[in-house]
Amino acid sequence: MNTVVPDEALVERTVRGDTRAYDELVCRWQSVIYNLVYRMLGKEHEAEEVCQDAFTAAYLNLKNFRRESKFSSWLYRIAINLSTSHLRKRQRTPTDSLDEMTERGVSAEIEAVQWNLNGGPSVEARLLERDRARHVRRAIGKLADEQRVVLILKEYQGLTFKEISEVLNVPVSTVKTRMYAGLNEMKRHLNHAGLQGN
Amino acid sequence: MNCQQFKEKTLDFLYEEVSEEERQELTGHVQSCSRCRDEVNSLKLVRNEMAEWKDPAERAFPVAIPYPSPWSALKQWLVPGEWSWRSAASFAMAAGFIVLCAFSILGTEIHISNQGFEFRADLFRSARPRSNPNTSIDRGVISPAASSNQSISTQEVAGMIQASETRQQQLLRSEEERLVNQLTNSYRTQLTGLTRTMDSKHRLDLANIYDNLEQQRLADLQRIRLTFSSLDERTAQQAQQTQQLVDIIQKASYQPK
Ligand SMILES: [Zn+2]
Repeated sequence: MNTVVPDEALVERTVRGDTRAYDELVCRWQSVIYNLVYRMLGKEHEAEEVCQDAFTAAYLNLKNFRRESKFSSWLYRIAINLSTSHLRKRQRTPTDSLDEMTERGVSAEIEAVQWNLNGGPSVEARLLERDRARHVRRAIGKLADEQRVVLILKEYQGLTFKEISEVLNVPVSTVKTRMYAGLNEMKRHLNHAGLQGN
Repeated sequence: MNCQQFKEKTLDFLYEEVSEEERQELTGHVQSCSRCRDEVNSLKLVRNEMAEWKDPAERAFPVAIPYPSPWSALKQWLVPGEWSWRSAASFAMAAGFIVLCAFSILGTEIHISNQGFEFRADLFRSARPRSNPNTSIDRGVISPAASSNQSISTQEVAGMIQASETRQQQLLRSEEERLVNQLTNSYRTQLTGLTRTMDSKHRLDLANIYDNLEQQRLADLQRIRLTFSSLDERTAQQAQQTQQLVDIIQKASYQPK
């Protein structure tokens, strides 16, 4: 087994001026943070921007990082705060709607090839799947900020309730209250969209 | 276990954050109580629905951290802590002293005339016969062409740095473009090859294969981009360092009339 250097040791080295240690931290957490921010914002290119800002902000504030929490919790918190303020900024300039959220994972080239298949079963299945994904994304977008954060951290980041309480700096009971309320809101929105079977 | 007790543990049960003992107890209640069973099932449905929103495609985009430049590291090393007027002054004096020493080693001549000032650094003067009247220190005797051969103006140095930097960046860019084109073509060949040899049974898997290819392509592109951006950055950094050195010399050798 190879021994993995803990995040906190890399933080220590970064503070002492070793920029490669911070590169390692970025490498370790980039996809996790990107994922989180993407779920918060629903747009890939904006998620990239905010993710970049989060790592920069963390680097510039590393001296203020209190070692009483995990580095990852602290990084999560920064990313969440930046995402929330980004959402607020977006609300103030309502140029594009949630429907315009595009998925760049599948390129136009591939879609063109799929069209050439004259609509085989897989294409239909994929279109349906994307439609459902859009409904979920929209429903999550309608949640109150604090419910959305908890739902994303739990459902997509797989954090435990204890870990979420550390990230958000609130008691576990509060986390659960928000989670429960969030799930019920989701139930309402998804039922409304007529997706939840019968 | 009653319904109230179950309700307090519903979420832990739903996300399996319970001990084995608790899990059995909770499962027992769910099996016997239809109301709690309905509640748990409806929450499970929500969870299943949420799982329809899949993770975004893995993308390793470059994250650029504003690391301090080697110059500010040197500054920090020379004068640790906050940068005050006093430390700035002592730094400037030390730098000035170093520059003067460098000038005397290089045998620099600064010639001020009404056309401005001329700066001449000559490492090889000692190898030249000093007594030769043709290369006398008297600048009036040296023709303008000869003197420009021997003296290097700071503007020229800056120009040279800029030209070399531009050249290097152009080289880098064209190389990057070539690699990216090559890669794109190779993927396109793979894609069309696949489409041609496919029968209807394989159509189901096709979308997934394309996704994987696309992800691979993005990752490869990213790797190339990262390599080039770090090369690019290094070149820029070197140019900046030289520029800063030139600036210091320029400042030090400037004397108001
Ligand atoms: Zn019950």
